[in-house]
Amino acid sequence: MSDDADLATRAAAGDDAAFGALVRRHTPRMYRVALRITGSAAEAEDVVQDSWLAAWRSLASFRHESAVSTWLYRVVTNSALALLRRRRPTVSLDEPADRSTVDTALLAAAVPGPEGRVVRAEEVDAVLRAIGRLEVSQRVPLVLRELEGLSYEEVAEVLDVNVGALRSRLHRARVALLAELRER
Amino acid sequence: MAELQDPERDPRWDAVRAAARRRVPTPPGLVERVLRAVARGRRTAVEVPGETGSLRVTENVVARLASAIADERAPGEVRVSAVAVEEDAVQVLVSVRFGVAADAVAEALRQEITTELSHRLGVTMTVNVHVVDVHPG
Repeated sequence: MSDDADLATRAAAGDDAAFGALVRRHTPRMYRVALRITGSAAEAEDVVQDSWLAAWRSLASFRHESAVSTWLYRVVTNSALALLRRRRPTVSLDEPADRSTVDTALLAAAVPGPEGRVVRAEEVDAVLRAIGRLEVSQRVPLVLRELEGLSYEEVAEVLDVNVGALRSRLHRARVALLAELRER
Repeated sequence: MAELQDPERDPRWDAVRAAARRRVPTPPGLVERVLRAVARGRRTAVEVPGETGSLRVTENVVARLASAIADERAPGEVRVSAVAVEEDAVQVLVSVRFGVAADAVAEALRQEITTELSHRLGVTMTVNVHVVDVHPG
């Protein structure tokens, strides 16, 4: 199987099959990130489509200074943030409609354990809803670090911030998340 | 206080770790939709020859432009459902309010979109308006 860098090089040279392979390989995680940032399955789909269009346009200028996956995380994060900025100001991120959208999508994915399945699923739901209520500036790094498992360095690269600033932003995000969980 | 200093040691953080493990299924057909969208984004819908080169506008851009114009120009009794570029023409799907002369409003909207698109792109594209639904007043 070709590695990402090789596929990206071939795709930049016009190899449609290589581009298709990248899309197949990375779309699931890009959708996951988009869903967790926007909280809406429909918007996450739009974000993923916009992201791949943007990725295709900038493939030729991709310098391989970061991993392809990190670069794609940056593309999808930027697309999701652009969508959030375009949202009508009257639509709050805390709108129940938004939350129900994310619940439906994510609840369907629940992998129940043999015992205490309801409690665990509810706790997870509460965490995802609480993350959805955080300010965008806290939600995005939290999604990338805590849910996607990126390293501090990778998240800093995706968000184009230094690691020190990221660490303090993440600490505030974690504290805010726990406060949200305590309140509910 | 200890929780505030190190949130990851809070017992509730187990639920955050569990949230990270929860699988998020990719919607069926999403990869194919992405590939089609990218193909549309690459396909040239309009080419305007110039003295030193030509201007190429992709289907994706034409559809977005037409969609914005349709939203802006559609009268109150018309709702724009979808806009796409297919078969070398802009296809606009609309719903009209019950009781309105559908053919007249559709034709007026078609002319508005055609004129404005032509103005913005520098070439005239075929625009088809399809009345696909009616809605109550």
